[in-house]
Amino acid sequence: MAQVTATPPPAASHRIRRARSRVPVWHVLWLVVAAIFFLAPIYSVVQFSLEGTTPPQTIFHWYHAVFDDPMFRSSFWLSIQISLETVGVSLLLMVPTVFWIHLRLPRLRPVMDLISILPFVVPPIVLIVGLAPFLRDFSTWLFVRPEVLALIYVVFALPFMYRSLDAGLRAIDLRTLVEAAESLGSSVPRTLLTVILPNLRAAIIGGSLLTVAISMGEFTVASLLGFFTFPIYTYQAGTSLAYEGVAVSFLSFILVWGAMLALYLLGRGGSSAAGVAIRE
Amino acid sequence: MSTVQLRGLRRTYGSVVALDHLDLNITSGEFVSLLGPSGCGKTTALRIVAGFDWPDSGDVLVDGHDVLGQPANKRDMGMVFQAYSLFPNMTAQQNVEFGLRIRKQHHEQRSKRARELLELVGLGSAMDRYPRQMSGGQQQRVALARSLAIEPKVLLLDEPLSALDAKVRVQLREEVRRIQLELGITTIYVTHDQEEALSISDRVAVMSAGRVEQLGTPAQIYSGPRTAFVANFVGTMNKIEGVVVSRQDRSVRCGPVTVIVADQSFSHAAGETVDLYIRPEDVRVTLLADGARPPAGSLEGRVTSLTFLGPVTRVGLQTALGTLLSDVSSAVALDLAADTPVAVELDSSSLRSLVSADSLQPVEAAADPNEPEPAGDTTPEVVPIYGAPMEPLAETPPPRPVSEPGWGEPLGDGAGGPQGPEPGEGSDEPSDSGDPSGLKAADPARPEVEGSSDSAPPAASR
Repeated sequence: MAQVTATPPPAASHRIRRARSRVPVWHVLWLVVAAIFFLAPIYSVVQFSLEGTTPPQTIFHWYHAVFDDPMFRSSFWLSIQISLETVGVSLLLMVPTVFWIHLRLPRLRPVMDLISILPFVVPPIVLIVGLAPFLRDFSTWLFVRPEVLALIYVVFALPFMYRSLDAGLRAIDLRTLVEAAESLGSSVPRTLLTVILPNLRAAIIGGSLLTVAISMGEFTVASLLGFFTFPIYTYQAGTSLAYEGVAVSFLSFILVWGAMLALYLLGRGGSSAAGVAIRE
Repeated sequence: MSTVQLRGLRRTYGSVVALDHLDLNITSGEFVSLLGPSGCGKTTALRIVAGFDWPDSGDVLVDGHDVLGQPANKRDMGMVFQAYSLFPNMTAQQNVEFGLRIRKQHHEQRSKRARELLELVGLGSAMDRYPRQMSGGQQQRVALARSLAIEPKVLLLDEPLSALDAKVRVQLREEVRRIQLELGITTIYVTHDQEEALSISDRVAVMSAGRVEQLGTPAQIYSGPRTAFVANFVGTMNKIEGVVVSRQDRSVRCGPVTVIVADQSFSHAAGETVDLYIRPEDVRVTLLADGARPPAGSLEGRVTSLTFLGPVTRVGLQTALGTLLSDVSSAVALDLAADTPVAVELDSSSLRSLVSADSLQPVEAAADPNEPEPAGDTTPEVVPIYGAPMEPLAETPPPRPVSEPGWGEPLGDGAGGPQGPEPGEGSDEPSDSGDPSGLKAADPARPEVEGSSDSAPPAASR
């Protein structure tokens, strides 16, 4: 018996090794082509942004120049501020909504699915042409403040925020958890805060990061409404200051990468937290 | 320790009636199971008590007070759910403390109580574990501890064990019962598993179509089902269809055989179509030498199937009463093989007679190939049995129970059967039951089953 069970593993591993050694040439070729396609522009950007930095200038001269530029700082902070406002408004609006739909109005879910993809389908330019007059008439005070951008970005970020939360709520047995908490004496708001939100951590962070990415990169609306945000600065730098412009592009690139990496890491952590009931 | 009364609960979902005037009284400290197939309304009833659902009409009284006006979080009901319901972001201890935290109990008291309860459910060493680090059985134990922590008036268990594997299920149900007895807490337990319900309850309410079919102790439910539904749902039952010959004699004609029912509560009028029920363990089987006649009071049968169930073997038998199942001690069953001729005796004290109900699932219709079915079953027909005219059958005539070539042939004792429009009293004349000689048919397997005879058959196997 022992012999019988002992024999297969070497055979199996042998097979695996053979399979590995036989990766077709095509696969490698396509991988290389794809890598060149994606990496070459990035390489050029990095290379260019480090060029023209002859001593006594440091290698990161253009990056220093960017960071020292007061326009960069003000636009960057404005964008950060707007992103945070967008995230705040999105969460306040969407978390209770999606929670309630999942809990009490599951029949509305298809409707919400449809609504949530509208911002994808409607081009931003159309949206802002329609929205601007309304906002202006609604409140002139608001219309001239950067907060108005946050409100518009909430709409742009809706699909991402909704989908993240929707997926997060699907992963937990919402009804049972809420009822369990209720039977123990908890009110619904308290349940939402102490039981549901902690279990939506990954979904909330994921949705928020995507929202930040959108708010940090949005150009059309900011430009039309005349706010000097980070993407506007990037654009202007790109047209007037060649080296700085490229350096800024690369910086925003790094920013997005960072956000994606964070998303990935949190997503991994979240899945192990969400896969509760399945494990035995 | 509270009493619970459900009074006339009715709940409909659209056109579906989930609860149909459900009445149930549960005394203080009692463990009552709601047992029934899925869709019978048992979970709906529990959810109404818990406050997660509301009846269209009716009342729920706890200690005599109507609780329907209270939201679920004010009712003080501990509930354990079928799905794993522990809060994933909290440890076992934090889960148990959750309800106490809401009740603003002091930190030290809380953790002391949590420890006590986790020890009560046998998880004193797993206080710091998260739900994902626990097995399903452990999670349900913690859920039980959590629901008990708030010292609920009533403990509600909604199929808490159905997600667990068989062994853990048996072990845990016994613990649920032990803890319930220890704390003396009034408990409502919902399950579709009859074994579970019968093994741990004080009383079982068998439910069907939104109503309680029968409420009684597990023993009462098992040995004395009062409706056809209960008989069919709880345990395994042999069903024998027949027509009452005489109320006084408690004799029922089942195909070619007259069966005497010992049950004193037998109250069917002659001519009534009834179903006789008997459990496989009350059907006794004795080996019969080839060609030998079965002793008086027994039927001849042949073994058709053998299913090994551990201590007993379930034997399928072909008899004049149709197919019967018998549970035989596995040691004895070693002598049996397919087609073995056996003598079959029904323990008549265990026979139950119930009016055959339309709601029953149709048994395999043993259509007689020799006798064409009367066209159009809608009009009750007078079907001659053994030459004796019979009462018009109930709305839907049951399928012919026995397909014997001798069906419809006149029999000597058939004359004592119901005649004319006024049955019952006219059938006092006892059928000469002891004498099978009047049987004309070639099949010898047609003796009377004299159920009341207590004489144990030789080598009775049980």
